[in-house]
Amino acid sequence: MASVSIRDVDKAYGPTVVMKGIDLEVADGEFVVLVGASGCGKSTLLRMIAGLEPITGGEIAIGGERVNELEPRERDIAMVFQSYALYPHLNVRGNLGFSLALRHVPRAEIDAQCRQTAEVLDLGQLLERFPRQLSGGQRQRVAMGRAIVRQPRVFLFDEPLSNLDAKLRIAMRTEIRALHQRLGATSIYVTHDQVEAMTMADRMVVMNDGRIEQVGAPLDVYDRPATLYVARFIGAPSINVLEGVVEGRAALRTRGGQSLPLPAGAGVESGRELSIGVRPEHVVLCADGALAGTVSVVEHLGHETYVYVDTADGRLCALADRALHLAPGAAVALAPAPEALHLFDCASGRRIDAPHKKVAA
Amino acid sequence: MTPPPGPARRRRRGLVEALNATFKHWSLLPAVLLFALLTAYPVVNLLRMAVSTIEFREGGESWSFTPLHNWSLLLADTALAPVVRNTLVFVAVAVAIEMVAGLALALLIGGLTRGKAVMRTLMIIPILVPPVAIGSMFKLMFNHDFGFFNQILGWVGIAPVSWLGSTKLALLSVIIVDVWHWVPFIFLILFAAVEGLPKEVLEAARVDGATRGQLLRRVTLPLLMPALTVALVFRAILAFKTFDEVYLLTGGGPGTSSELLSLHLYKVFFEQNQLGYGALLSVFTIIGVLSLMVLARWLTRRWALR
Repeated sequence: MASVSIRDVDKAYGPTVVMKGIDLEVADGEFVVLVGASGCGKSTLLRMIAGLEPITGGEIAIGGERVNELEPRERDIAMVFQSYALYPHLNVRGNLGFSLALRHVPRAEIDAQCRQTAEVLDLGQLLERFPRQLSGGQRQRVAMGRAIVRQPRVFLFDEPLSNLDAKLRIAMRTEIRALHQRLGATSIYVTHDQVEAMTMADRMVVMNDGRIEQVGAPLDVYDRPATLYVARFIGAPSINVLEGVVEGRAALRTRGGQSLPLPAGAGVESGRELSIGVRPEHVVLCADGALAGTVSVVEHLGHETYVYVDTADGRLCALADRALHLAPGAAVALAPAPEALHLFDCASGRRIDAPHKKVAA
Repeated sequence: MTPPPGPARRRRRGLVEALNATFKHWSLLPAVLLFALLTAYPVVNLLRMAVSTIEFREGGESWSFTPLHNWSLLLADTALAPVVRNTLVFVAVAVAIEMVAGLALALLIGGLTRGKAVMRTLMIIPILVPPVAIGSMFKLMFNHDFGFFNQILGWVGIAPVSWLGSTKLALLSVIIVDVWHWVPFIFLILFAAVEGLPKEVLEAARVDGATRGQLLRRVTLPLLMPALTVALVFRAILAFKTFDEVYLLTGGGPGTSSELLSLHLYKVFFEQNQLGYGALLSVFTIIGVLSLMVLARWLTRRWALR
């Protein structure tokens, strides 16, 4: 087990710079999730940690030891691939024991280790099967087993669940988390699924366009997104965003011409252009709120109900009471809770914190 | 006016239905006839020839049934043993070199980040050259006095050798030409397979701790095995029947030192005019190649099952 340090790492393909100055510390035993839309560089970062992709600048250290120049096999890491990447010519036993066989571990010991791992992952009955005889979920388990059997210093996961169906994905999510709690191994997990990131991570790293947007515990990231991008990316349904200009000390004139009260002491000067984010659960449906509109869609999910309202500032979403019976076309008003508004600079997309909140943090 | 349904009409409908039901079989008939004409007839004729003596007399051919005579010709053919030996040596050595070189090239070029397409195109050229041109080309290169090979030897201070005129070197020279001609064929088959290797599996092996050697031995080669088998079998079958290169370069000589089975067959048929015996030899060649194919099928099945 070991920590992973990524210091000022750059990545370029020829003249094209895809990553610049990435810094990230992963503590020993931590479960860190890299999350972002496809093409944001999260997989590339993982592959650079694995040594499958050379880095252009900076330094990567595992357990305090610089590994820039080391081959993947010298880094003592294990990786679970999206395609599982099982060895098609070897049965499950051969796949599990492959890394041990490469190290010339005695046969009896390999067998014992394989059996033990197979038991942990419930693969005992499948040891003699070949990968093509296994279901997706079983292959995924074998891929996990192949990583576990080696007891590496760091586990790397590259979207390991994205080829599974929804139900299995949720089950495996919990299982991977439980496994981590048992083994306590440092894990870095890449996903594009923000729900996976929220549910699995000790800390999550939101990436965008080759940069790290925010690092933090899932709820911290959810509650205090550092940028508009993060605010939009985390949370489903997505956060509502309104753009406008600050008018006076405590109101925003939206692009749609409506007036939205800002939290007291927001500390933004009049005339400044802002993007305001507000999550659906912080929007109250009422008779006379700040934003007027008509109901367009009502989504019942059982435990919650979302109402989409067309306003002068586009379609906004509110979490509503299930008992509230609204038909499409009904005129309603929305009242975002002022203290739950997230303020972002319109140009940079960066979060603007109220002065007093900064002191509190 | 429609005729009333009667027994005749019912019978006719039964016939139509039967024709419809079996139509898929009938529709094969033209193909079956063509196959019989083009493939089955020549084979049957060959078998008939193999047990006959055929002579040309008074402007016509005369067949006589003499199975034992052909067999005794086979036993008396002193050239046959060296020819079979030459053929086996030729197939084993040439195909082995071609397989190793083709695989090495495929892996090497497959590992390039650019220029793959150019390399692949360059590699196709030897296959496109007509065998006659290859024969003439190499005959010049093997020339004792001004040939390319002897010039090279001269530069490193070795006396010129008689590539095609010595019993020790003639077969080797033919093998050199064959390797030049056929390595690209193996390369193309294996290159496609190398390009199709699952990238993540190779990466997984690298992360799992495989050195370059282990990666090749334990992952790449097993994954390439189906393609390797196909390449080997095709090449071995073709090598078994090599004719043009020997015919053009050495004519099988000196003596029988580079004579291969196909060339021997040619000589028996067209120089010695022993059509019956030639046919018998052909049958044996076919059996030899067929057993290779059966072996190949068995091998590929075994690999497919794994």
